[in-house]
Amino acid sequence: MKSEPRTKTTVLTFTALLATLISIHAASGAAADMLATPESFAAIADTAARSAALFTEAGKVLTHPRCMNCHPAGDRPRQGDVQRLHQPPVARGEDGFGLPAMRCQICHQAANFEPAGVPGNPAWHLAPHEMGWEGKTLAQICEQIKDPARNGGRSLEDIVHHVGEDHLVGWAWAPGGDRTPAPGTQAQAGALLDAWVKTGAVCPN
Amino acid sequence: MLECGNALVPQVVIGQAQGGFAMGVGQALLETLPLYEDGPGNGKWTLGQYVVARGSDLPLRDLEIEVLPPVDADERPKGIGEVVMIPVVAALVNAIFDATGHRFRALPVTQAMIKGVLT
Amino acid sequence: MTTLTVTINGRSYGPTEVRDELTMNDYLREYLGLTGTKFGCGAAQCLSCAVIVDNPDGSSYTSPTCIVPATSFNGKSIRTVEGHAKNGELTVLQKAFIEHFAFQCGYCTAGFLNEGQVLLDRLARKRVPRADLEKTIAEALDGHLCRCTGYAKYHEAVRDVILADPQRYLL
Repeated sequence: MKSEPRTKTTVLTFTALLATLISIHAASGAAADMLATPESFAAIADTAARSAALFTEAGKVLTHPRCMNCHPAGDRPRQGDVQRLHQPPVARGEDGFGLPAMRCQICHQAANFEPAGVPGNPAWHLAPHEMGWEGKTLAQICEQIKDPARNGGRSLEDIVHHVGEDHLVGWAWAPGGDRTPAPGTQAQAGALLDAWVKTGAVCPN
Repeated sequence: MLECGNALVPQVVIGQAQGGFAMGVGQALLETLPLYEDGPGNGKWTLGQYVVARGSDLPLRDLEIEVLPPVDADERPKGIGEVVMIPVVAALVNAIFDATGHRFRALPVTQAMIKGVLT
Repeated sequence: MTTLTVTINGRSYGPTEVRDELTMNDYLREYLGLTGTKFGCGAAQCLSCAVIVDNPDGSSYTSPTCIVPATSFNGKSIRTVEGHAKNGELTVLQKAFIEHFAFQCGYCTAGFLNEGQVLLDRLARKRVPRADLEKTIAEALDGHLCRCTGYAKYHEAVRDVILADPQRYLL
């Protein structure tokens, strides 16, 4: 059809314009793929406000698809940057490591397998139900993370260690394939949460 | 209900009807396939995006298939296959109209689309 | 490059030097000519590539081969569709598939056969209540896609094998 190429050009131009507008908006804070350092929050005089702001920055990691996909509200993980339901359809099973016919580790090996685009880590599994973050606000996730009944009995220091040093958590920054890594580095995320704990572990509103 | 002339292997006729039903469910409710780069044209689609019917999507024990006898005894085999899916698609979209009052005119009719007209 | 030794259908293959990027599917089909295992979607969505992995403790599970490196099977013992029949004698499940006309084009059949056999072996080790049977079969087979059959006769075949020997498989 004669009009088709012109329509496609119009659509492409609009998409490019939209992409530019979105990237301008993202650049107005710290860039979406970077994490601010704890020191950059020193300008906030009020300790409680500074604490909450530190957690909000760390929240860029917690709410990133690499983390959210395996902290679902239900029994099924999500997949990819678009966070669609994991295909093939798999479920957490009794222990978070999958149903008997489809254990996570049958497909997800100890390391990313690039020829197939499959991410991997020795501990691949779903976070337990009580650590599901899907559909929650950052304030709710913050309360949940601080609650020993819902965070696996962890102290605040344990949480800093978990985010900053755990091997499976660390996968989020080297996910392989065309998956966008979590923002910043694992060490930076740990540093932000460490500063958050030291300023009173205040949750944002 | 189907009529295929003389069935040479009746079990395979039933099998094809069951498969055709599954394809109808897929086309009506599951199989999203946009044109060009929005779809598999971008070279990255897998069965994760082009979703076909699994066993759990189908009424495996509740599907009733009736094979009508041929019109007369000499009738030649007419064949059966994916043709089964054609009325299945129509029946499903009509059922959705019956349930929601909304006539969808493009396929597939996904869960999200049905939710969208239920408010 | 990694050295790969794997037992397939009771026979040891290797040691063979293989690239680390080699998938198990390519190893079976291209290196060994065992083409009973198929390549369908390349994304573990259809499971026409699934083989049985036998654990030392006697339990077994199915694994895709299309996205799993061959080297991860090093030292393991697997069964492919070629390994079910013994001396030309088909297994109970294979006969049930034939009698029920469970397959049509046959592309998904190796996967369904492996999955069905793993289910039978699992139930023989830990039986389930009769009331849970349909759900158990459905969960076990749901990972496998089929375009021809609509799944019904596969489920019937597996169910009838189990119901023909209830003391073995059911509580």
